Amino acid sequence: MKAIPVRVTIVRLHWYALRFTRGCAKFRAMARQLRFFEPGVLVLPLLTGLAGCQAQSPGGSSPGASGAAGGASSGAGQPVSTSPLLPARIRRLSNAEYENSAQVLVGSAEPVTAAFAPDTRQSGYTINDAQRVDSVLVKQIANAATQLAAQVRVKLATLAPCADPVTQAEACAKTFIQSFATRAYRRPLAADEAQKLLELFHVAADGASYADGIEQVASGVLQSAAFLYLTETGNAAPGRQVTLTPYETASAISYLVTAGPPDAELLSSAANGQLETPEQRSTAFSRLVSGADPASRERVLRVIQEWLGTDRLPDTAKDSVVYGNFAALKPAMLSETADFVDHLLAHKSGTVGELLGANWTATKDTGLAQLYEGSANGAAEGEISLPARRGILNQGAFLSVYAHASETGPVLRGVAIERRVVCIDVPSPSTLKITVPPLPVDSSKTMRERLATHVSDPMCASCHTNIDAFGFAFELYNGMGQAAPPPVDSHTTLSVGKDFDGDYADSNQLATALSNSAAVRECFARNVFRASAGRSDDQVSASENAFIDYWRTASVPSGDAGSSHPATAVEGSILETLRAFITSPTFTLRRAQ
Amino acid sequence: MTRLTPTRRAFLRAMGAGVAALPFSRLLQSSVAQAAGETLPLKFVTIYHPHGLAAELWAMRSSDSESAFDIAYPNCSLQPFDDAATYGKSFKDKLLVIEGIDHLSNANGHDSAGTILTGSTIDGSKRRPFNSSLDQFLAVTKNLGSETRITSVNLGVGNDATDPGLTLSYGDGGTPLPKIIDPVAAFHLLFDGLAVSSNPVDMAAATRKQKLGQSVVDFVRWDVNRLRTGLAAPEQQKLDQHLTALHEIEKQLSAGAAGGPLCAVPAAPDATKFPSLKQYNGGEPYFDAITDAHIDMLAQALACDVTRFGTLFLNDLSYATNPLGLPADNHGAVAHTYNASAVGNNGVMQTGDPASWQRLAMFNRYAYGKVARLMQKLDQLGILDSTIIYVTSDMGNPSLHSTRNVPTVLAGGVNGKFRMGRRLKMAPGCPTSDLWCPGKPTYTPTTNSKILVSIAQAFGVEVDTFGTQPDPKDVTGALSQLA
Repeated sequence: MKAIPVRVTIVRLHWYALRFTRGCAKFRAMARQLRFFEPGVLVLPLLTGLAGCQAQSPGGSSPGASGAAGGASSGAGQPVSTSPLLPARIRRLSNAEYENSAQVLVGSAEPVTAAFAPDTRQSGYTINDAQRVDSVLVKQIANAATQLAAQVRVKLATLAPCADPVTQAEACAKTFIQSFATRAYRRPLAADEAQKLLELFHVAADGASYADGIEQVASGVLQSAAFLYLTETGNAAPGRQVTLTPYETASAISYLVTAGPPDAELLSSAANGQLETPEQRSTAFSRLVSGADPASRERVLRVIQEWLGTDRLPDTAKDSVVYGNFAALKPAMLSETADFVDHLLAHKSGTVGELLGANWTATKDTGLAQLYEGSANGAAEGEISLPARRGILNQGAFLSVYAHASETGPVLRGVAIERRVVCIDVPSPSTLKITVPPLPVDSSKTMRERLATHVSDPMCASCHTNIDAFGFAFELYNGMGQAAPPPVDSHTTLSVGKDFDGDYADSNQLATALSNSAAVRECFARNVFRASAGRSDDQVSASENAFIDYWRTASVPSGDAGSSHPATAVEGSILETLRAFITSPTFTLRRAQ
Repeated sequence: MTRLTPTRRAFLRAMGAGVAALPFSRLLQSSVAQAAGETLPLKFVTIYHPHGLAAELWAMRSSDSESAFDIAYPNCSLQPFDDAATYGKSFKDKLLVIEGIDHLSNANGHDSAGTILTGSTIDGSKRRPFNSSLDQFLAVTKNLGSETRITSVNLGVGNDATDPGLTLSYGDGGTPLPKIIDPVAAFHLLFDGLAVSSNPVDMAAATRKQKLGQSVVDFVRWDVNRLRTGLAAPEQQKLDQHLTALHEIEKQLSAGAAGGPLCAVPAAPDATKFPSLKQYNGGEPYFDAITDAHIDMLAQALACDVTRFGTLFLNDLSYATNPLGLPADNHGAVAHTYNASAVGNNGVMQTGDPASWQRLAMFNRYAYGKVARLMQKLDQLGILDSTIIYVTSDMGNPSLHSTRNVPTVLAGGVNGKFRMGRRLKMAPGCPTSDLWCPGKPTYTPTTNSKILVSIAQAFGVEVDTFGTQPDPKDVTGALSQLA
């Protein structure tokens, strides 16, 4: 027995399901009673013989439905596309994009999407071309539009001025429709659209007032399809390869880089046909990411948070008995990510390598700095230097999200690193049709010992040898990122066939290795593709691979003098990787579907 | 679908046949139907409560039989169902307590809420079930929600995330559907435009509001169709759901008034009672008030026939000085410290800690008190007998995160389709000596899929399976003991 307080461990083998309860004598009795159950064959395939942890193409697994009444759907039958082009399609704005677009249009600061149903994600990303307007969201959008239209009415004098709203109402309304809807639709208005909006104006204004009509038009525009959906359909008929219209290109660039609509300059470039070449798009990109407070700031942060899953931190809670100071530090952990990424892009290399391997952080919170044993002494302006901790994976946000309420989660952490950071596919037990039964209780074992079956049982080992090898390195830190009490066993040996294979004392050594890995840089580029393309399924894997081929040699086009980032895309520059997506020759092309 | 009785025919004649299709007159129909003693349309509410169960203070005792049982003994968590002093009358005869149901989520206990109405395993990579939930299957796929103003409503307390552990309701292919956590927003959804006074000014304002609302819907529909025309089929499907959703706004707009003794449109909830709504963000002290507001509105919405399908996702009261007197951290200090005896541990012999059972039972009793509150309201509104309430949790034993032996309660009159006032005990799914039986050939669970099939059949929908499991037998067949 160890000399630490007795923990009673109540363990289920599933990768989410490790829990323990801080114990008392009664639990020891329970544990003794249960100990005679020794683990037998712990994981049993039910229908298939799928035993391995072999890589599968993303999204390529079928659900294996039993044909039940609930109507499980299967995507079987559609041949996998080999085209390097994304499909011609439409995409609904994400909630953040709706918010930004509406605010730009109405010039308001009151958020309207706080009560919106959360975005449906693809591979963790909110940019998702499968996003729909369902029966709940449609009403939330209608409410937001009503609220925003009321603000338009308040700002009538600036947004829809009219010298004489009695005699000139229709002329003024036409002017408003042109200006407002053109900005909302991010393209020139068609005649039939203008006509329909004018009819909408009359429904409300006739027998009432000019302001009533304007409010009605604004409400209609803010819930219209032209506002809610970005199109990537060009002008060709369905069934043909298409080139995006200049305005579609402007929106594609703008939403990708700023999560908001194209500004006047971008729209003017579109009108003048100045977004067609990679050089032209690169110049537009440089403008959007430059300056002291670039429009791209929020968007880049979101991509990184969605990539690493740390955007779940606001909804993460801890057992207050075990992690008493988590609730107080959570806001600091949230802002640390933002400050760290900002500082990395504005003042440091701006690479994914430094993101993962930095020996500094940028928290302004003394409590969090203390938790990290960091110091501002001798550090550069805005930085905290860290004696041991390395990179974003060893920061509070990542370590807290990937842990349980009352203990660490080596399996959670390991799976997250494999899937998100190094792009090793880990199938879920459900996908493998494996039923995962609970493990017996044993109070005398450490976390690593408790998971020993993961290695000794061949079925478990096929996935868990690697998962746990990543995860155990983080045992250095507890479930909220604080140094874990001894004894700590964070040593690990990785042998996954990648350039960072080796022996590491802990997650900080591991992070340093990951920060120097070409495989990790490629994985990041793949994630930039997924976060930007709004797709990650096998129908676009050829497109993803084509992007990676381009990314390997991408550089700032010589015509663009706006970039001063020291690293190239393949060297891991975060912004240059995003630029590569926009300058790639396929950016403006779409295949028929 | 519904057989017309002479009373209803006479009513329809009086209204004029063409008008009878409008929601306004349909609302009146329901009250006429009730006055005539006709069977009202069946309504379905699902209530989730967190933290599983203290089985010691819930399960049948040796002195209980199927139809004669005591749930009023000290510390019993089912007390609210037999507590006339608090809830007006005993609801023992409107209750089916079912032991031994398993949720085969194939995920950890916390993700198992997604299995409750789907009968599906949870896809670990997409983190969703493989098929739609029963409420959506009945209301949307089988069109049973089409007659009402709101097809279905999902309410929640404190957390509006759509993770499988926090969601009961799923659309096609297991797409999670959002919950409304703000009672004021729920009020607007359910009742806006429904309560109109006879004052001519108010009526004129309501008519204008309806006209303006409809003109926006017409415009948006035109615009969606304009975009849809040029698209390939997969892209058109995205917009088809939008078009369907627009119809939801239309249904809401077109119901101008409500009538009859059944329906009394409530006042809007007092928003000052819940200045914060969200869990982990200061909402916890208001969860009790939010829960009551949701329940009272849901009861009225069912009575007004605004909707026939609802889900309610309850939360705990994790804050210092909570009215239950429980530790501030319900999750860590109540659910996780539950130390079961054999009855709460799938039959495995152990002594357990009675104090821990009482703590958890107190929380269970709180949740059941909310169900009893709903039953009391429905009873007062005359619709408890035409409602089925399905109450359960994601887990059984919460400290094990076990998804076996989950606390299953069916309540209401179910229009006589189920024999209520009983306790049922399913045969154990595996030998009690085998703690990790799931997955073995000897494991023969009674799954919640059987309950879902039974409920679908109570609605007159003839299905024999519901859910997605590796072994089809786990999703096949009704729970015959219910009828």
